[in-house]
Amino acid sequence: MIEYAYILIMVALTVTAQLLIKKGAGLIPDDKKVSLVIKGMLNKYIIMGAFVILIAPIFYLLALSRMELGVAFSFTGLNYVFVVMGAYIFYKENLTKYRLVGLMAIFLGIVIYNL
Amino acid sequence: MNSVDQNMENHVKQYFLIFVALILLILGQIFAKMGSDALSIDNFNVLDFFNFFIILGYTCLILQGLVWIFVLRQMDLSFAYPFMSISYVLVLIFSYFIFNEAITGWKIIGSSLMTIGVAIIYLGERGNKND
Repeated sequence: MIEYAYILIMVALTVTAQLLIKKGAGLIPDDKKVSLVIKGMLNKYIIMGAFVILIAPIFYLLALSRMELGVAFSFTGLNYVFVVMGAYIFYKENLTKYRLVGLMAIFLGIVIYNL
Repeated sequence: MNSVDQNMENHVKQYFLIFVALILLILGQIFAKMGSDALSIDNFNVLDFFNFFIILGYTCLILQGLVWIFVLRQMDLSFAYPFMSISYVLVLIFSYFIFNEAITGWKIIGSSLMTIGVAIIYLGERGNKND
């Protein structure tokens, strides 16, 4: 049962990381100079996102050692729902009907995949 | 005309970056499973995390993250992220051939739905751009 707790922690961390990296990616200057781009990449949002991304797999590995890859991977389907919701709530991204219908198909697909 | 060409070229580059991120994600998954097979539940040792395949998996993850930053620099998160669901379809195929995990009818239907979902998101965006 503990493997389900591990996998849900992993989902929460993954969603947080995506939102942080999206924020940080927007701060990178659009410049031809590579040094400026690299410097821009080292902003606090990307660094925090990278840290969160690096600890998430620890929980994934703990879960994986107790369940099949196919089952564990299905749970990560929740990432899609929460990442898209987060992008809409925090960054006011345009949730077109195509994105919503596509997301529903993906989520349904992940649920069915796990049957 | 010139800016349209440039825009087109930029789009091809963005989709190529998504593709590269997808491949790195799948390689990371496969190496993680190979590495976690070596972990023992009863006799757990933190040092076991540092085996060859787990390190390889992490390397793929780091590279995927770098590529991903450049995807998100230009694309919406709610547009780009769903593309990563294609990894389910690919992981299904790889877990069958490498780890002998079962392919069921449900997994095939689920994978098909995810692929259709990504296609809807992609085609919807193209439709909007052409307006």
